[in-house]
Amino acid sequence: MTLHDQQSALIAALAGNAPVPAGFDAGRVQAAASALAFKRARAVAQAWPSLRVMLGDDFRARFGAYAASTPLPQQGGPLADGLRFVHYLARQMPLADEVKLQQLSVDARYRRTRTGLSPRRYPRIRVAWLAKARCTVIALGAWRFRLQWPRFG
Amino acid sequence: MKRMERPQAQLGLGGGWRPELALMLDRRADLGFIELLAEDFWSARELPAAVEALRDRGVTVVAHAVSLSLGGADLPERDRLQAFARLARRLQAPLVSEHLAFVRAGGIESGHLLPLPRTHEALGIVVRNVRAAQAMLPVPLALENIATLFEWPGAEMTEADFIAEVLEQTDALLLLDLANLYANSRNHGVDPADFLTRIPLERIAYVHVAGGVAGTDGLYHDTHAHALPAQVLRLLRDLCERTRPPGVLIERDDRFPPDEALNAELDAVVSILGGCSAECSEQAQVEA
Repeated sequence: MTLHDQQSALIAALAGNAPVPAGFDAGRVQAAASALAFKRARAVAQAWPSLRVMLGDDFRARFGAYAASTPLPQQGGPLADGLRFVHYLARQMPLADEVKLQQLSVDARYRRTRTGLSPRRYPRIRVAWLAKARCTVIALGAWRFRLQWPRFG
Repeated sequence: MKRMERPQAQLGLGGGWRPELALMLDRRADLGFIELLAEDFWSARELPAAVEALRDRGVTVVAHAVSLSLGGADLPERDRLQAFARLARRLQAPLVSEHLAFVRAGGIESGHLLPLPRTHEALGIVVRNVRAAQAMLPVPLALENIATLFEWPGAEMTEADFIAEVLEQTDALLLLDLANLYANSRNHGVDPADFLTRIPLERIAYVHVAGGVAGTDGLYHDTHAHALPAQVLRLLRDLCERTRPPGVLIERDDRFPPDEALNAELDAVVSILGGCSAECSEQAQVEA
């Protein structure tokens, strides 16, 4: 088995998608897997306060279910991970206005790529309907300008 | 045997720069250097105003990466190295740092610094990767020892010997993390005194210290989110008896305490460094 295969097997085990490879202390690897899961969830909760508010005490359980089926994005860190979590949640439940607003602000500044997120180089306009506030919000992400929030509702 | 000729840049007291600590670090008149998390800034159009203000008053900035995966079976990614090199130039950093670890394999990110098998095969791969990184970086690279909760089976050498061998073969500098050494002594029974004897002290670029906590799983977790343990400061004192490190930096990443608490930790570091005699440093260099 090459080092590449050994490292891949270990990462799969740490993500909870494969058994602990032979020879490792399984209890220790599982302790590391728990620490990793906790760290990933906490980082997303910090980058996406709107999700923490929307999900409340359900955050950890919902995020755990998402994380088990979705690997970490290669680029964009917790912001990218959280955006994927938002898309995952959107298939299951209506999103709170605050989450839609935060998603708008991320979408206006970053481009979704196969590997995660990368900063936009060109201005971008995004529109969202906020159900609770009953208004449409237009987000304008532009070079060197702060995000604007004109409201039409 | 390769011999290092350049003396290490004197960095002094350091803090890991985080937005939450910007004001606190700005108020610290004796701050010599900060670390910026490279991945957070290498595609940013501009640096935070607070970082620019520190640079204006002469505080040195070191770029610290976590995602190069120098211990990975694959060569480090060119795009990441280019971005890291660009950031180092932009910061006029005297050196940059990264960990002796791997973070991805088979296209899957672990989101964490993972340990390497301490085998001759892995050693050869790390040396190849470090050389590839050095070829693209404009300044010296310092490599950091990591904290781990588990180890690979089949180790052919101690962690200290593995590190010493990588540094010897690549001429890289050492970022000695004493909190990680402490964590590994708690979790794996590593003897810190033996570790400090085996590593090349003259290659130390700077030192990390940080807090952690004993978990319910019976293991010590290097969290960077808890107070600095007295044992880590004791290790710094032990190190100072052997050599005077060019810089010591506190890492605090989460659960930020009141400024007084962090200032007390920085004061403790300053006080230990103050007691660190210059003769020790000269002595270490003569021995080297």
